[in-house]
Amino acid sequence: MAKLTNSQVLKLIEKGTKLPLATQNYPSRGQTAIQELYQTKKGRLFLKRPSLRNHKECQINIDSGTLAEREYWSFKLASHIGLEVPLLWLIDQQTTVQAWLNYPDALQFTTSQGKLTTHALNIFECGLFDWLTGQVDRHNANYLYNFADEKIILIDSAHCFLKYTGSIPHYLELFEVGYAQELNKKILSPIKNKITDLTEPTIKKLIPLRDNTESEALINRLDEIKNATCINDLIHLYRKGKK
Amino acid sequence: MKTWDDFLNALQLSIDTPIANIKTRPSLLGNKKYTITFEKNPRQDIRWIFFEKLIPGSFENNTYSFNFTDGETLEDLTDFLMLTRLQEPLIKKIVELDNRFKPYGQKLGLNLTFDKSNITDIRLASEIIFSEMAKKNKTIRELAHLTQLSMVSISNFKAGKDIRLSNFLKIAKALGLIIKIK
Repeated sequence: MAKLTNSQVLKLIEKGTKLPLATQNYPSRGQTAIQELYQTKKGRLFLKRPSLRNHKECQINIDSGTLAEREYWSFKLASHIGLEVPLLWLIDQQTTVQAWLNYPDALQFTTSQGKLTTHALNIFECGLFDWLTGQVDRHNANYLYNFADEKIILIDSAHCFLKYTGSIPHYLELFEVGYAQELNKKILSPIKNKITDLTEPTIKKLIPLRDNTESEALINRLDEIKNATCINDLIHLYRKGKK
Repeated sequence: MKTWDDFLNALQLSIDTPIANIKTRPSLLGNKKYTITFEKNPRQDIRWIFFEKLIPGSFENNTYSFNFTDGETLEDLTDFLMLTRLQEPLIKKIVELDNRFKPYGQKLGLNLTFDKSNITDIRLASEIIFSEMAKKNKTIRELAHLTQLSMVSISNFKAGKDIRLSNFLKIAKALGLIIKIK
C-alpha cells in the first residue's frame, strides 16, 4: 500500500464499503468533521477531516499548516527516521487518509485488561519523535498498544509543530512511574541516529511550516533532542530546570 | 458495563464484512435471541469464522442467529473482541494474560502455548507446572506421594492459589523441571 498515489487511494475508497459501526465509539467524534472507515480490497482505510472548531480550540495556526498537513508532515518525518506509524496520504489541505492499524489503544487496554508492559527502546524512540514534533495531544487514546509485541504505536499526530513546547506524553508518564530503574540507562537507537543526522534544510523540507516562529521552534527542539541519550533526558526536556 | 452498541462496535472492528443491523427478541428458554444481518455473506471472512466458533449459531441467507446464556458473556466477549480484533497473535497473548479468556482460546482451537521463559505470576506458574504433569501422565495423587505434600495443597496450586516457595520447588523437582532466575 505504501506506493499508492492519492488518486489510487480515493479510487479504493470509492469502491470500498463504509463501516460506520466500527467507528461509532471513536474518541474524537465531536471535534472531527468527518471520520470514516472503509473496507477496501487492499485493507482498511480511515478518512479524516478535522473541523474548524478543532483548529480553533487547539490554537492551530492554519496559515502555517492545517491539522491535516501537520499530521502528514508528522508521517513524513516518522517515515524518514524509521518510526512505525500508520501509512498516511494527504488528500487535500484538510483531509487525510490513513491505513487502519487494528490494535486497541492504550485506554481500551488499560481499562479492560491491565497495565501496559512496555520496553525502554520503544518508549525512548516514541518520546524522541513526540519531543521533536512538539506533540501536545499524546493522551492514552492517541497511541495503540500491540500487546503481543508489547509495543506502542503512535497515531493521530496532528496536534504538533506549534511554537511552544509539547506536553509530556501519557506513555512517558507511565514509564517514569513503572520503570524507575530504566530511566537513566543509555539507549542505543537507530532512530536516534537518524534524528542526529537531520540537518536544518532536510527537516524544513520534510516539514514545510509557513510560519517562521513555528519553524524556528522546530529547529530548536531538534538541537535539544540531539543530546538525549536516555529516557530521563527526555523527561527533563519537558521539565526544564528540574534536573 | 458493556452495551450492545459496544459489542457491535467491537464485532465490526474485528471482522471485515459490513454488518447491516442486529436485532434481539426473547427466546423460548427465556434468554434473548440475537440476529445479525450482514450486507453480504461473511463466510469468506477468516475472522468471522473465528467468531462463529466462539458463539455458535445458525445461518439463514445473510442472517446469523445466536443466544447468550448470561449477561457476563457479553461483557467478556466484547472485551475479547475489542482487545484482539480476532487476530491470532493477540488472541494467543490475551489467553496467556487473562484466565477469563481461556475458554475462548479453547473454542478457537488455536495452538496456544505459554512463554516458559517469562513467568510473571502464580497463575502462569501453575499452568506450566500442571501442563508438565499432564505431559508426564502423572496424577495429583502421584505428585503428592512424590513430594510428600497434601493433595489439597497441590489442588489449591492448580486452582491458581499461592504456594510456599519450598513446596513449589518440591513439585518442580518431582516433575524434573529446572527453575532458572535471571
